[in-house]
Amino acid sequence: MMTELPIFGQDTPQGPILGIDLGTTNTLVAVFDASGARILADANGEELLPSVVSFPKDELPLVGQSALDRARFDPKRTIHSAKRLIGKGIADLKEEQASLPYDLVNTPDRSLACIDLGYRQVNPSEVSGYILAAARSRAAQALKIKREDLTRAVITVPAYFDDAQRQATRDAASFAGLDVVRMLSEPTAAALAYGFEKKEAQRVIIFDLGGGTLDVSLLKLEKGVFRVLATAGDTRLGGDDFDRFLMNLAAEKIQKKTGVDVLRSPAGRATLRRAAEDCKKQLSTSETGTLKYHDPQAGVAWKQEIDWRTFQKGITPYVQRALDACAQVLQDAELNIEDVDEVVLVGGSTRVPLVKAAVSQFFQTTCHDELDPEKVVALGAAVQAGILGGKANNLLLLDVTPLSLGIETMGGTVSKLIPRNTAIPSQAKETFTTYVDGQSAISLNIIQGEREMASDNRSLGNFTLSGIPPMPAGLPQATVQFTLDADGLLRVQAKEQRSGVETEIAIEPKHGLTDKEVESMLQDAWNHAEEDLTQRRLADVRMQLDTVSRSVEKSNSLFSQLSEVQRERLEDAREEATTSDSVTSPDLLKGILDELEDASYPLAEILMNQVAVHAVQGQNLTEFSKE
Amino acid sequence: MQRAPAAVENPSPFDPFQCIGITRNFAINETALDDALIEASLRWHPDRWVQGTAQEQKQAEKNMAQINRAFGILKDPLLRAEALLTLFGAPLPTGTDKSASQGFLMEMMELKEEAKSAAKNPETLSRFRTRLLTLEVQALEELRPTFESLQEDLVADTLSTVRGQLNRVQYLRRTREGLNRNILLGS
Repeated sequence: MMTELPIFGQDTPQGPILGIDLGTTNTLVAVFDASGARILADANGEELLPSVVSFPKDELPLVGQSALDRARFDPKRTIHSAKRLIGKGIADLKEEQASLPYDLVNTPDRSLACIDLGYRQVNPSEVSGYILAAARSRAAQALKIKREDLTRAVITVPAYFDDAQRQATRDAASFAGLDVVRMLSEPTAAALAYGFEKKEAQRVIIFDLGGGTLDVSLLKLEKGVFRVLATAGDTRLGGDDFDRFLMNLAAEKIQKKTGVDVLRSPAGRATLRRAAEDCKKQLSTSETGTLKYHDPQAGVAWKQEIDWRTFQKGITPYVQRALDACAQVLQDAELNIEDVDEVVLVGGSTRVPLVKAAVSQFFQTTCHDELDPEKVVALGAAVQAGILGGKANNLLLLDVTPLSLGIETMGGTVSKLIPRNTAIPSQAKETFTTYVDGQSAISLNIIQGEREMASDNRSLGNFTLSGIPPMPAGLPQATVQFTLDADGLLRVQAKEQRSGVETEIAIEPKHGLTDKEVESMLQDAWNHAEEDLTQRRLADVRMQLDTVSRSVEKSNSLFSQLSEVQRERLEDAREEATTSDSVTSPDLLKGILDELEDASYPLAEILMNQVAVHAVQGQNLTEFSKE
Repeated sequence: MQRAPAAVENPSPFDPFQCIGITRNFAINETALDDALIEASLRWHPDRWVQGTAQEQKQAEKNMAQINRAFGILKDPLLRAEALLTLFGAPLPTGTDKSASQGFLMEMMELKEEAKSAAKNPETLSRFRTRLLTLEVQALEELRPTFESLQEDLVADTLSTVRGQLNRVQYLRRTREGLNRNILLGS
């Protein structure tokens, strides 16, 4: 799908093309202007927009930080990591479901997974649509132009996204009223951001380890042309795996100490996930990190120091898998480690020291991490937006397809028409015939993936070339043409040469709703959602503060067991909390909440110890906390 | 569904040399090939035509797809040789081509045996893979003078000899790729 644009004039009245990094954890939006690429921040100077959408019943959805704040007390309706689900069927998501606090369902008519909110279902494209809409609004605000004038975007996707995932991402954009002028792979975007403006040709490895996916790409840079030579990766490897290691470690120890399985409740999983992330971040800059789980409502308080050796040992298998992908990309390009001139680290998970060290050691060179690994992809998307908008004419990007495309043939094997690492755009043709006399239709099953058997790969869709006049078997000649465009999206045409019968399809994910329906639905919601965002967030934080205050007051009999310092801190925090009615800034109120939580931590610890004693005497935790 | 037998009619074979704009020759300068790709891409990549009409955009996509196809053929000596052979009018390779020499048949059997025993440990496997690659490169190198002579004089006999040699290269390569797959699955 291409938009028709005026032939002349680079800056159309439509406003600039946005560069958007739609991440698993955070989303960033950037533009390319006279001073180059830059990230756009919200009114508070915040650049990262958490990729989280919360859907309270009977109310408008919340996006970003305000949604993230609701994760703990409304986990089943607060959707994070939608990117892990997008364009996938429920069968592909068994592993993910176990660690997600919300529920997945399959709607009857389709192959794609949906999130069950209890009162309605929402598909991952719609969730991402809200995030993109928020990014668009943020950009409009930062650039001081009307949102209606921001209609075009370059959106990045993991290099390893298949056709269905790319289509679903495109849908998400159209839900947000954005036309995707180019879908760009994340590692390639990172290379564009770095630029590497040297005269002589050089080969660059982009190692991109995000929350949920790994991409390793090898590019050759010469004369401003960025050419992808090969790409490899793992769609199920990322920082989330590191978090999960810490989560399991904590859950096991907590269970041993208290008998409570915190992973069983969605709220517990959400809390533990954040605790694991915090600990991981500490371990990126110091030798130990604190893993703590504090749930005043359930009366569980636990903490432990984790040293880097434990962490390193736990994540080594994942790091090894990442290095396997590096070896794969070199093998695909038929190059050796010595042929690589530069290595660039991208993605928040490359902040983990072991990852950085392992990659350096593998390529025998120091890695580039001068640009913030969390921002570099968005900056690259903005550079590509500049190229497409005619503002960066000296650059060009030549990309490849990460996965092979083919057709299922007799016996269930795959005939590959476009092998992986083929430069895009690409066209390929192959001729097939019938195997039964008088066969009037040929059914085509379009396959994406590397395995030999069709059933082991992803089917992008079936379509039928019908109306073939009766002929003996083997006589009809059906020419099937694949066209893979510069976004990596596939069109298929089939024609029977002798009779001239023809058919064409664009592969589309099977949503229950048409694009138009969802678009108007979403835009309506969004137009309203924005206005009362602050009010909503304020109300939510106040509610949480109220809950925590109450549980603190309930245990006032234990105040005497606190040390003087602890008691003073708690008194101060309570004082702040009780006089917080006049606070109107959600951020300020959140600060008060966080302080009260921290200050009441020792209290929870005392409570814990008592629980342990009571547990021995045959009283369980729930009974105790009800006292 | 099954693949149809190779199309009989073959009016004008695709000429990758002409498409990308370099001289038709087996020996190729890789830098010159890269330069040609860059020049052609700067002209035809769809990113250069975003401001163009729908018609122009469609044409750009089509042309760029052809350029990518041409480059893919030319950078690989085996595919390049196949393309040259076709351009010189040799018959297309068919699956049932048995124009292999007695010597090559012997070699095929030996390699098959060797592959089996090499697969037992990573070190022998890696050595065997290197050997296959060396053999492939040597075989292609030997073709160079033949192609030079083909420029002047088109003899059906020569074409069939070249075809036989390319079959051997193809066999070597398939064996090597089969090994790669085993390494990936086995690790």
